[in-house]
Amino acid sequence: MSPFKRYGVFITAALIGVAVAVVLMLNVVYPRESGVLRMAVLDITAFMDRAIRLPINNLQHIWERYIFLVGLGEENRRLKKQNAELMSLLGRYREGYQERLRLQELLALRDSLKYHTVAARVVGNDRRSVLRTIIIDRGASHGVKRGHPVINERGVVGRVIETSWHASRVLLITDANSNVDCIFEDNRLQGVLQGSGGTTCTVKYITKTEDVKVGEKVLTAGYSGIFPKGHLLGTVAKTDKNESGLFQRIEVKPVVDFVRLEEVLVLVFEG
Amino acid sequence: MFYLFMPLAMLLLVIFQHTVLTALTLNLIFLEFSLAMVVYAGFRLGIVKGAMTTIVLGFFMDCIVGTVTGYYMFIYYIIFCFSFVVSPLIYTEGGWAVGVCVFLAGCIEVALLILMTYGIYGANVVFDLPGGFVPQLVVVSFLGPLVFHVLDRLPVRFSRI
Repeated sequence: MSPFKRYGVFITAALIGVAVAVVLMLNVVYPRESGVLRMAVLDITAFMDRAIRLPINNLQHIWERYIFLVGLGEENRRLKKQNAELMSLLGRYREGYQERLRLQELLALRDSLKYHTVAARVVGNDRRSVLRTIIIDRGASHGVKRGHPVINERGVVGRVIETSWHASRVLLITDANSNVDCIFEDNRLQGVLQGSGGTTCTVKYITKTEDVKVGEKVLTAGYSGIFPKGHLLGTVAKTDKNESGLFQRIEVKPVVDFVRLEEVLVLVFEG
Repeated sequence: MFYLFMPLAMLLLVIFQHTVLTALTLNLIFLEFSLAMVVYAGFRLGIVKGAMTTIVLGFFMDCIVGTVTGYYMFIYYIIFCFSFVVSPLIYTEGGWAVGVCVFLAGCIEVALLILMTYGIYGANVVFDLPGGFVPQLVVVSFLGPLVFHVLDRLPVRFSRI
């Protein structure tokens, strides 16, 4: 019996294994835009997700609209009061904004990033697999490209990592692979916000000598050229200076509720 | 016939588990039936058919999850090899044996996911990943014998015999 016949199964298995490893290595070393097949699978998945979620979302809305009407009067009074407070606050902020525009013009400063927004609906929410991602129903045909930031009315959601023709995949800021340049609102300290893979994020590279308060807001710093400056990322939930090393551990709770995420805005850069 | 229907069946399986099952479990758990399918391929299909099934399944998982192409292909292929090697030693008509194999395969998957996520993406998920994976692994291990039962009775003959 020839060696190939005797060890044929093992040789075949080894050859296939080497081929798979080569495919993986090539894709890691030379990352490329998604191929047609990947884009097609993403499009089909987004379509299926949308079709399945539609009745579920409708049921949810019915529940929220009719069952939770109890207590609406109380909530209405609270919201009216809050609205009055916010209107007063808005007036003061408007003044500040006008002043900022005048100063900006005086100093000839320009926002380095010009963009417009594309509204998108979340059709898939994949928070349980190795990458924390969502799928949105806007893709390359709507001008969305890899790297574009995604926000909602509360703050930063993540960035686009893959697009197909009619859908895109967004890496959430809570994913362990996500890194965003950030700045603390009050003390102007700069760091990098990294996802923890769970529901929170951590800010890296803040030395133990710095004082960071719980509840302080964390904003995008706008250095990397991906996220525009000043978008809200989250608030400091916990600080720990007892960790080994030079830096303290700062845990940040994102402002975006990723469980109830329904609509988002993609910031599409011009030029 | 096998190579004609297999990619379509694998695509449907991956989409089904990602959309329908995730919606049914209210996004609380990701039932990875594809893992049971890989173990099945190791037990019931030959080296070539099984490897092709595994690689195609891995590719579709890469597309769905958003990982770099080859990531799940490699993980699933390692699990396939494990199943293929242990298959002559295990009597799979007993449901518990299949369940144990799927559980062990899942443990290998978690270990590889942690190692490869660190190696490729540079992210340490050693404390976050197992917590999310263990519940789904237990559920899939319990449902593994059912997957074997269904696949053994499919009209398109998957068996190597």
